[in-house]
Amino acid sequence: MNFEAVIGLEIHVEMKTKSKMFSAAPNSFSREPNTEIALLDMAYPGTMPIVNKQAVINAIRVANALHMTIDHELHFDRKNYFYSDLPKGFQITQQFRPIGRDGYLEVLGRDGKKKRIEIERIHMEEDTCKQLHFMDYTLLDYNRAGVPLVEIVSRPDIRNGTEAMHYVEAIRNIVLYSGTSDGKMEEGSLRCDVNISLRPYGSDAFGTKVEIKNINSLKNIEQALDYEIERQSASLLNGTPIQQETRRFDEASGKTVLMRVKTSAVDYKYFPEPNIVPIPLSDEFVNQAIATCPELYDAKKERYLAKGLNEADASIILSDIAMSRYFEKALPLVKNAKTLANFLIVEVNGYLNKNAIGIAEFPLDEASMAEISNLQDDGFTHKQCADIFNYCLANKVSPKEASSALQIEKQVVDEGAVLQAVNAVLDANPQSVADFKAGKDRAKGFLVGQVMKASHGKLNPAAVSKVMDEELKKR
Amino acid sequence: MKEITLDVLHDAATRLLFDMSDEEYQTLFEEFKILTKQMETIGRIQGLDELEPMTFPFDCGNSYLREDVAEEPLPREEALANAGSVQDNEIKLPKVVG
Repeated sequence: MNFEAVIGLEIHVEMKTKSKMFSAAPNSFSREPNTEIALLDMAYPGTMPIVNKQAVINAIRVANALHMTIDHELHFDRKNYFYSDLPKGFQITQQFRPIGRDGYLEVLGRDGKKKRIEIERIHMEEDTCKQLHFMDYTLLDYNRAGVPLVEIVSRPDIRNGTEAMHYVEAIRNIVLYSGTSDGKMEEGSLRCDVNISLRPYGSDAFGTKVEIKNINSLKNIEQALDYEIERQSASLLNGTPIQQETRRFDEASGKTVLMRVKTSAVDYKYFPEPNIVPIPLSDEFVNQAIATCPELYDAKKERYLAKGLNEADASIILSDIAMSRYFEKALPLVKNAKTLANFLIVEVNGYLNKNAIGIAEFPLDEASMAEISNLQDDGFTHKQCADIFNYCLANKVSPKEASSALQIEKQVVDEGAVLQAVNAVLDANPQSVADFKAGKDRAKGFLVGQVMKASHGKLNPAAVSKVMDEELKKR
Repeated sequence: MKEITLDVLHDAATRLLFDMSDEEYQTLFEEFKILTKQMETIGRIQGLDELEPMTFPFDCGNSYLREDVAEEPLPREEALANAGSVQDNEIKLPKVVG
């Protein structure tokens, strides 16, 4: 029997605000434990939550990017549970009136076709404190307690690991480019929990749900789900029923591992948060939040494609938001966006990888990079421009100084000069001409090399090659 | 509804890390007696179950949102002052895994 996987995702995104969701404690991801706390975050009696405006703006922007209906009145609720990561004994969330409802995203499926994934809700809430578990004790760091979160809950429309991966990737791009979050899965600022069940094809009923928690990379989402589909299929075919349980993904083995069996659903006794009265949001406030949203990933990509980049180039540049910022600063200064993109993708990325640094530490500014890119479009070869690029970095000089120090001159493309040089070499090398005519293609390479050598590299190789083809035909 | 006795108040105070005098316990106990009586009175109103629960006493709203400005946090020493045990500037507990 063949099974269909039914997958839903819950994604928690830590928002990149200056202060916390309900307190004015800093939210700056300090590594020093327990240094970013307000009394409210530790649940001191008498402290009252006050909603962070920027967090609301961020949530509106993400909701809009996910094509959701935005609630123009904020309501918060209490989710009650007793656990050491939650100082108040409850989490303030939006159970009954999420800020956004009924959205969707279009993502690429395994067959390469676009598929619409419906999104049930997006709501704001606060993060819990960070727990570090050791053999026989636990340490608590309250810096994370109260950090603003948005939770995005999909409908169970996803059918395999690839769709899930692309869905999370699209959400990561939205939160990253809207300025809502740095979206780093490996550091926990974007966390993904997955619910998956199997059912026979054609059935409308849902099977028993298994939860996989805290998957920390896009690739792992795909692997974890594809493994889980295989595991559950094998189990069902064996006649072993699936039990309701929570699992985690073990990266080393590429398998999901049982954490705990769920015996009963937890009753969180939700009720409206009495310390925050309903907050009406004016149309003007909501519209302004949307209108001032930074340009999103998809819009940028479209613009890059219109500038002449291909799909792969645009994706590589956009895969690093700092790289895309660099690209955009240089863009108005260049003659050809594609040339600039090629430099960033090959030379700049090569330099960054070699030196294990990010583009923020890259020593060449955007104007210099644009100057080098323009040299190529003015007739210098890519090799010459790459030499200038490397000389600039090695000697901390401007492209002009580098090109003068390297005595690089623009190559000659004048057909008359090239024709004369080609014929001189052909006349001097009759054997190579004969070899070429006899089918030895390598002889042409030798002849072109001789022309370049005789001209001390001043002739344009592409022009030499073209004229060489024409002249060889005549002989 | 659970009966509020002095033992219940002592137990709650212990759980909430409160320290009160006997006189304060007695005051609280007397106040709870009044509250309980009021709740019983309200409970006698006919048709209560048919009403929607209310969070706020009247239809109210507040359009205030806090500007996203970070303020000086609590000094770490103060934040950790009430912790029973501290290690590496973190609060130390017996292992809890949920």
